[in-house]
Amino acid sequence: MPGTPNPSQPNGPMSDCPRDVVEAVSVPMRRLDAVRFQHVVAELFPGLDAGAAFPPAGKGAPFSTSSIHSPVTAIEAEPIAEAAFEVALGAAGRLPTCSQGLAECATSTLRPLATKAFRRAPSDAELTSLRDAVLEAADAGVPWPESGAVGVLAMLQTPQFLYLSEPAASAPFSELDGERLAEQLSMVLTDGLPDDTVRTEAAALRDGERRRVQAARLLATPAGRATTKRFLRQWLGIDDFHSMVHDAVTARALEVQLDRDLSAVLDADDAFRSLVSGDGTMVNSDLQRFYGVDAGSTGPNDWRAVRLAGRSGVLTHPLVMAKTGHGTDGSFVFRGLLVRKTLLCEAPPPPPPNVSQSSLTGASATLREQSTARLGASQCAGCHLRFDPIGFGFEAFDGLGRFDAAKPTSGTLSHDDAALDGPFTSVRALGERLAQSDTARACFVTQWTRFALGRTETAADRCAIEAVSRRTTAAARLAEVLSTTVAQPFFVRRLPR
Amino acid sequence: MAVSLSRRRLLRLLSGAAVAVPLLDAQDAGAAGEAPRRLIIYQTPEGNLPTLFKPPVLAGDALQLSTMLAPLAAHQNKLCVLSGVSNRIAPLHPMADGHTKTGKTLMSADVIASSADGLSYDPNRQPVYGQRNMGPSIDHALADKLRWAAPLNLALATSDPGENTMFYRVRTAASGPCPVAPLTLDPAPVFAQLMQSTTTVPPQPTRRELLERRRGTAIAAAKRTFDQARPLVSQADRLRLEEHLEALDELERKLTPTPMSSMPTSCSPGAAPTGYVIPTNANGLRGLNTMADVMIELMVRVAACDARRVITLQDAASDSPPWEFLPGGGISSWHVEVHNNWDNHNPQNLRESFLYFAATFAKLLTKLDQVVEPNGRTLLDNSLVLWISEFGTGATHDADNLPVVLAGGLGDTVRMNRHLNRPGATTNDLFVSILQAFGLPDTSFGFASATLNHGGIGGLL
Repeated sequence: MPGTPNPSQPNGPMSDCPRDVVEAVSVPMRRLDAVRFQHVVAELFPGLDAGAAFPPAGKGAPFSTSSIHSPVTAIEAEPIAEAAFEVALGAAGRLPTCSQGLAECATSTLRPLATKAFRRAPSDAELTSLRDAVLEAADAGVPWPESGAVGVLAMLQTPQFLYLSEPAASAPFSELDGERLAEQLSMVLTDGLPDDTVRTEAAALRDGERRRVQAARLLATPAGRATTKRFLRQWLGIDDFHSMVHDAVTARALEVQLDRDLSAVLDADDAFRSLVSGDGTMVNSDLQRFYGVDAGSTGPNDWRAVRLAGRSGVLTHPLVMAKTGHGTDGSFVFRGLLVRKTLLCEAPPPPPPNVSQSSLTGASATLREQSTARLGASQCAGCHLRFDPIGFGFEAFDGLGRFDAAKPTSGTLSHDDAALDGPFTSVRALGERLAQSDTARACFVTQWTRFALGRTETAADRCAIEAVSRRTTAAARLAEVLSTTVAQPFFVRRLPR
Repeated sequence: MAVSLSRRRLLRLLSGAAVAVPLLDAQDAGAAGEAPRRLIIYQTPEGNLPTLFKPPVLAGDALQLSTMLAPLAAHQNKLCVLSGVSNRIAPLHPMADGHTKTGKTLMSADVIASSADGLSYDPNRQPVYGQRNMGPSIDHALADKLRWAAPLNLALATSDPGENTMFYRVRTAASGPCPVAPLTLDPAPVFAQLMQSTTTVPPQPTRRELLERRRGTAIAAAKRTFDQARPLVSQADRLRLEEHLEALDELERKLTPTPMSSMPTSCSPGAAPTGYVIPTNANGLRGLNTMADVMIELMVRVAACDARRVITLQDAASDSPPWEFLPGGGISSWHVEVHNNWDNHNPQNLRESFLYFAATFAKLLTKLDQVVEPNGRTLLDNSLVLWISEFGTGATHDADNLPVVLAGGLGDTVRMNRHLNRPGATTNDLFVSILQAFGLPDTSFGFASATLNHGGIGGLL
């Protein structure tokens, strides 16, 4: 039955958790993603462009931070080595001159770099390994500073640099130390290294209120805002998304518009509502043409506020609609899944491999005819009854995200949560219902913890995540939601793995 | 039809320029395919600790490395240790000084001229210090017999070793002693003489090229840090680290250079590496440890580029301070240390120092083994490398049971990974075997005495 909790799905609706659950979680080692690699490199060698060679997370990763999607096999090791090589090459010209013995130069140069790169002081053995790379290069006739760059090249390929890792926890749980907390807090909220204040505060970060204060401060910085936007884009599935259905001018304008929309979300008193509801946005002259409205914009750089018919927050932004469309058409399935998976944290099963739409209808069938056929087929209806009726409400948005008021706008969401359950007349009405829903708000916090922890919940820590979600749903501004989340015990406590 | 490039031609192609004039022709490369054969000798002073040096005698001449040979473990398959080899010429030397007796006769297995006119040997006359050796040392003898360029005789010393040399050139006059082979302490002039070219100077490698060549070094270093990373993560994460490590192994294999490009040094002419100017320490003396590294680099470069086929390195620093690696900042004299510490039964410094010699020899072998030659074997495989000292027991001036290690095998001419225990063997026998290994018909070497020459080391070849 649609909306029925599935006990086999750890991400499904949560209701069987004790209220006094130990709020500790297990966290896997997480490889830096491309953005974090670039940011750390920029802090190691200011002004150096780390390039774009760093490998992305694997296909199907919900977030770029997803641990399981970011292994280092032979496939990833090579582009990592390439990215490290380009950095080391650029770093060679930035290393200090060497006026002592080579070993001393190597050590004095690499120690501060490794301290930043490893997010802690390197051990003597670690430093010796890096130093020896310099000496071996010199033995082979490579002069300083190129020999020093060999040490940098080695450093950038170490697990100490590439992974956010945590010491093994002991039962029932262990707490992270200040240094690890400073690293986690900064990386999760700003995609970078701890700043001076966080480093100074490190020892006090086990205290939830001190963490909340630091988190709020970091989230207000440009880096914090950029990271939050990155999370939101990944949550909506449109980070690094390149629309194939928009012309280049429109696609560029939509990117700017999305960034402005997300800025507005960050500044909104009720962030979640502005994500999924509301008709306000900004347009320039290019988007006036795209939407068919006149907001008075006179050029590409002249952005004007406008209310768009049909729009329901970022949820219906044209890039989101394009991502959940089929070419220039919309998709009931993808848009239904957008609500189920992204907004309600449900985990519908993948389609069976032996079923194809063409076996149900002819190629010329309309979207409605295709859906009717799916819902009428017993092998399909069980799942599609959960998606398609939601997708019906998005029918007025084509694959480009343009709204056609002449098309149907009503759909149905079946759910155990009474605040969500029932038919809706428009996506905006659905958005309002989502904005009021504890389930949807809790899911949003859950999604952020997935981004922060680099994994989806497991049976072992599902209840701890639920406790966090329960406690943070009342928060309104996004920075409040996230800083309150960070202040919870789960951010410090680790279960054994 | 396959085209076979000579080594020299290949070097030219690789260097992008004509290689230095002193390089030898490849046409007499010898039996080991395209690769020339070489003799490399490393001499260290004051013997060793015999009871800790001699490997156990096992069935089938099997080799089990001893305590003092432990630093050579990585090369065991390319080692042949000889026990029982003695310098029996030393007692015939008329001079009383135990060091002169042994040092002056070690490499030549021959006596010193002591006749009144200084042209022949008179067992009843005391020679004048510095009087010449009657026969050439093995290195010069071999090069002369094979018509190769004269050996490169290098020395480790803080000052000019003067007469403290163990190497003698072939005689230039019809009769009389052999001239001393001067030892070279400065690597830079050697580079200038042997490696520089008056022809085209190739462009300097770019920064990218320099770094490109050391990708493998960086990966190897990164791999070493996994040992420190493992204890810091959970058991589950350790599995991911192992997967990562395997990926780096594979990447490292991909980066393994093709033959010849793996040469650690370039044969291209150009300025001597900056490291060839040995820095002085606080006492104004050149650091012997650093100097050993540079000399090894030079030896490998000269051998790899076929600029010389016989190369020796004599550690002539017996009386030179300090050994920087010893606890307490070193010692004043290695010679005095050997005598005193032995008498005091406190061999810790001796053990450390003798292990240093072994480690230095291992470093030489490692560098030689990194050079892949056109026949697919390494420079070490294609060479015969001898490590020897003038004493068995330095403290007692005992020239019996010398520490002798052969390495490389000269293209499988000498079977390696063995310990040959040959009591009664002499240095004359050892050098005969070396000549024979290079294909020469000699059955005796040095002082012509049937009691000293037995036709070579039994079973070595």
